[in-house]
Amino acid sequence: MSTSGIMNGTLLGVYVGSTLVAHATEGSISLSMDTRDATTKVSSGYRDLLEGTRSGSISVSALYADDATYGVNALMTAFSNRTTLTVKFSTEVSGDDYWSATCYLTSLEVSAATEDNATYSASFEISGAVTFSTVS
Amino acid sequence: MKITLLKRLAVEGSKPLAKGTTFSVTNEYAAELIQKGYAVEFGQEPTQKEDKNNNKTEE
Repeated sequence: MSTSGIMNGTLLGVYVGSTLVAHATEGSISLSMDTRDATTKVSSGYRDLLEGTRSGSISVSALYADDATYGVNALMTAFSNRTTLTVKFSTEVSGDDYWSATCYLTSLEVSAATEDNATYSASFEISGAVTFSTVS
Repeated sequence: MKITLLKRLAVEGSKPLAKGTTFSVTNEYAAELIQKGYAVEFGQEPTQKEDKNNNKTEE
């Protein structure tokens, strides 16, 4: 049964290669489309646009644990190998919508402040189409 | 779905995970691992019947 009402953000997780990014505190997906300027002399002084390239990225922030089932270790492997990853943004609740795409890890930042949790954030740039479907 | 591993498992791009590790995966992957006998849903015990079948197969 799908999640009803305004969704609690805690439910949505970032899965890389089917495994949930451990100790995550935030996740997001951002989609955009470039436009082509089609303004001409008959545009009456207003800009006319046409469709362009669609793109997007998925990001995750998490607390850093060296023994995490999927964390910085695994992401460093992906970064070193420069391989594509399947990244899914989902509640994994049957009936809920999810996003999934083939991505490259393009950014990984680890922060460690004095007497505070060590954290990291990762960004995945989408390569190709985004799947938007329903969890079975 | 949260699962517990019954066997050591190599996860793509990660260190091999030890038997007994509990973590979350997509529902599809969880079903695959459970079907292959690599994991059980978190909080559940592996059935005796499955264990016997696994032994027979290995012989």
